[in-house]
Amino acid sequence: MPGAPVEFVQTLGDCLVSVGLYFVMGLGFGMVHRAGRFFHLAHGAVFTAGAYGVYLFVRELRWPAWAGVPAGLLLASLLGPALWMAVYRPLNRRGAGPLGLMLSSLGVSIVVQHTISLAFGDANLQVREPFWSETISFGSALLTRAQAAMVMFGAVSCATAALVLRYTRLGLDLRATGDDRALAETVGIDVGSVLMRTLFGASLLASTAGLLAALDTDMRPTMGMQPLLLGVCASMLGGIGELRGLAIAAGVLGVAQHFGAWWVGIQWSESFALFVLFVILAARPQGMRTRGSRAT
Amino acid sequence: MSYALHLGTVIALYALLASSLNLTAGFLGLVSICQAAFFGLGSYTAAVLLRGTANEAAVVAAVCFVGGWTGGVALSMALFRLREDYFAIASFAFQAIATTAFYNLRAVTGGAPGIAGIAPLRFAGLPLASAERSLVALAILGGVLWLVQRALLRSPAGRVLAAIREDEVSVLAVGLDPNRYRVALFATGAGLASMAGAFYASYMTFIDPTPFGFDESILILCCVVLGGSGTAMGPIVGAVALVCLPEALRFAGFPSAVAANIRQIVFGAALVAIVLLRPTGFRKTAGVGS
Repeated sequence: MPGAPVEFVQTLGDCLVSVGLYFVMGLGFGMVHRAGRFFHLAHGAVFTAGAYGVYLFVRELRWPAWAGVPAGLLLASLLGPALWMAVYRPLNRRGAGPLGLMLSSLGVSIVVQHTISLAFGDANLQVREPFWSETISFGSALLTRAQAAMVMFGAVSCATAALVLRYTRLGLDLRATGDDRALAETVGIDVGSVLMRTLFGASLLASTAGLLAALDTDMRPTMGMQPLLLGVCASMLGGIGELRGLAIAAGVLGVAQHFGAWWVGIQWSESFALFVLFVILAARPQGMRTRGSRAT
Repeated sequence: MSYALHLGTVIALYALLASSLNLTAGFLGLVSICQAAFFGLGSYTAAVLLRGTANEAAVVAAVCFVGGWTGGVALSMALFRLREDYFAIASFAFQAIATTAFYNLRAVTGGAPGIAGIAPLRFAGLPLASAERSLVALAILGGVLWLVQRALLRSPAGRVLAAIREDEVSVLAVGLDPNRYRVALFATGAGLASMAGAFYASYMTFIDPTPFGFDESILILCCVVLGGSGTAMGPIVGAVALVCLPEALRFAGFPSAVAANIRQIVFGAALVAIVLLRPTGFRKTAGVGS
């Protein structure tokens, strides 16, 4: 129940961790949707793969962290481009609609998740480390290093995405592809390459978030589902591919989830967010604001 | 023999579930990922009705059908503006909410431990306790549904459905309301899935939330897609194939935990493969106004 300010500040801290996670997941998902106009549901599997990829190199193959962490994240992030080449591109060429792309991405995510299960077991794997579990105090809120890293990662990826979208060639190409693919092709943009790079960037975000989440709460093969759903939720609430909208939406979801839990019980907090998604889809399928051809 | 009967019952159950999804996913091209939620709704409704005492099959099935139908009307009315991937993702959110509800509404569902000691359905005084009787009941239901689907496909209404799937504008142009067909078929499918749940609860005598989750919804969708969506026979073929597959893996000597994962991998890969092989099966063919 709402009570002492200490508890309030702590909940606010927990909120920020969730907001960071949802923002990062929503960002990758939203960018892929903005560029390619389809639901990339395998995004959650990439999140899981990030955590297990690093586990594979650092714990199983005993690489030092400075080499194993990038290797694991890279391996997971390559899932994005690989998926583009093996599934999405052939589907695009054969004239599949967005539903076909979505179903195939769902299929891929099932394959990835259960391959991980086969390789590492279905059970929870404890990977928390003393260093990352050590708490840092922010006023009266205590966050572990892993949690603080998630918040920072959210902020950094927000800033990076804003800069990339506004000032780089890739950002321009991505916006052009999303706004009008045929026109983008006509003016010489390699749409396939834009989508592949977007998928790589999104996967890098997701796999890093997966690693940070594993350091915070350990890992299991099903760990990607909840961040995926809430990322989708944040992305659609904010208007797909909109940075400012996404940040607000992730904030709203985080607050609703953590402070809502005071009243309805923690087990319903995820349902609450999904209910929000459901209502938004039913009421305003195009998101909370209609996208014009603004810069970001 | 009892093993074959059990397998037959499970196949019949999935054939029924897949056929119920086929009504919208196949006939109308409106793919949803929440059939297991309605399946669960029916199972829990039946479990409440059958707690400790056997009950007349017709009554329980009717109650479950109406329950699922009402849920289906509500859901499809709420989502009637959505098409294709947006509809699918909204149904996916609904499935996730339903799963949470199955786990957390402990007073009704018993939570993760589930409900045990469900009494069998009775048909004309005869309890449907054994696999034989459950199988016969489900097979009759599945057969009727197959005949109805076949008849529907060949009727003028069936051509309207195909027209809604392929070219909605033409349907509007002749003064018909596609959304009425969508809601009617979606609700009927939900009602049938819910009714299948009643037979499942009665047959298993124990239910927990596992078979009413996301994986199961995908499996049902796979049955439809793999067998050939939009045909009367397709879902049945798909159900036979996908139920027998894990059994075959078990016979091949894989331990069940491994077999479960392999089964899922095969489903996932099959889904990707089918979309790749029949990409235009998942899009409206170009028509007027599209």
